[in-house]
Amino acid sequence: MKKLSAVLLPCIAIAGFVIGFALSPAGKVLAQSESRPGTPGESAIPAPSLRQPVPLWADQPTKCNYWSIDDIRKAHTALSAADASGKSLAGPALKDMPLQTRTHLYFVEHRAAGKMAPAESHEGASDFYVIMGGTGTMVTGGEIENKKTYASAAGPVPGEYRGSSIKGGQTYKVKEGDWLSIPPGVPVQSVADAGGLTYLVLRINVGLYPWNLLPRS
Amino acid sequence: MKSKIVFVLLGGAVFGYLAGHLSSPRETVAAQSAPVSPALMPDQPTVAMYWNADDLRKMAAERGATPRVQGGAYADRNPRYQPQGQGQGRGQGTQFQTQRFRTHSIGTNSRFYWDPPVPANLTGIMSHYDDVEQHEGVSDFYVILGGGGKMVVDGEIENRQYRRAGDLKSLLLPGEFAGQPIKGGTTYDVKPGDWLAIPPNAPHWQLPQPDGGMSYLLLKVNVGLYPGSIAR
Repeated sequence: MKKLSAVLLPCIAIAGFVIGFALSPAGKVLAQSESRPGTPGESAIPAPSLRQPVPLWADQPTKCNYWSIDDIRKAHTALSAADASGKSLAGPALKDMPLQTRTHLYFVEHRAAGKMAPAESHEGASDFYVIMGGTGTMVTGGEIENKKTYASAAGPVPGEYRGSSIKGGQTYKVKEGDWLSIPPGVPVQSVADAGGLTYLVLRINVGLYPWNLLPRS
Repeated sequence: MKSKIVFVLLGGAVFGYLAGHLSSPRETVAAQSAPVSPALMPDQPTVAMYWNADDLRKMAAERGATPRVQGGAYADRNPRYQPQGQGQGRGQGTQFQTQRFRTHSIGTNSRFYWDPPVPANLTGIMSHYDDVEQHEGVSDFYVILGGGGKMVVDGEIENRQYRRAGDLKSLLLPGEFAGQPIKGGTTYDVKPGDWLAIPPNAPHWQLPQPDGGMSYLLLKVNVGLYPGSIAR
């Protein structure tokens, strides 16, 4: 019996060691150590192919759009000339505009000299303006006077408001190259100087709107 | 015996009341009926911001004249490049502060021609230029501010690999890739005032001019794939 115990004990100890080793996380720890194969900077996980078979981004452009400053200035000149002559342009002032996707929208807006655009606010969109040409005044913040829900041809648009003017807002004199960021729900109103005012609006859908509600003006 | 029954009944009643009170949804219901005004657009700015073109051009000129040490801070230290409006102050630095929200971010960047070649910013490949980038989850809008050069878009990225969150030992960023050079693609000669809209997944590579580099606005729109922390 004593002899049997002397044999069994080391056997059990060895079996325990083997089981313990096999179940230990040492292998995983080793895999995560810095001694993994590959040159510095190269990931252990290879990058997937450049072109995914199924795009993971719905309703987005597939090509790059480029607009030169010369074309941007020409667009302002053409829109101002059209205003002065009382005729509208035959086509878009700037190529590929408007450019609409599920998440954001690019469009060009022109304000005729001396005409005050309505004050507006959008609960579901954040706007980024790039002034393309001309000069004018942008009023932001404050409260919209005579505020009403915007009614499109199809009916009222929830989250879209219009009014006659802004009370208590901040005024910025703007010119070519200036930028403005208008957050959701913040009123904005633009007034053009002589010669008109043209700007790009990059409207970002912040998540409230079905994309077909993302308004263009 | 009788008093014992009463005691047990009373104890049962107290226990029942406490259990009922604690498990009642009354407070939850009350919280929902309170006249609160929850923000329907989380993590968005609340006031407008304005950037003056003259200041932006000066910032670009200063950056072009004194390029940053690669990977370090820009040389400009001028607070006037902050946007006007109460919305300024996301971060307390003196450079142009990137405005970062759940759906988009507004920032500026400058790229330089490195001579002699240096290890590229993301992959460490020796080059005159920073790496090509590819983002599956964001769409980029560029307005060139100062300097100029070429922008190569599309094509195939050679030596392409996952981008990392920081240095070469840090986490891989899903949907973010880097490498260089680009094989093929379309090349645009860019100058101040030009715009580019780069869709998600399109590789893009800035090749700044040797003199003055290339500075630009970078407005990134999160098209829905990324947590905000990756959309940068």
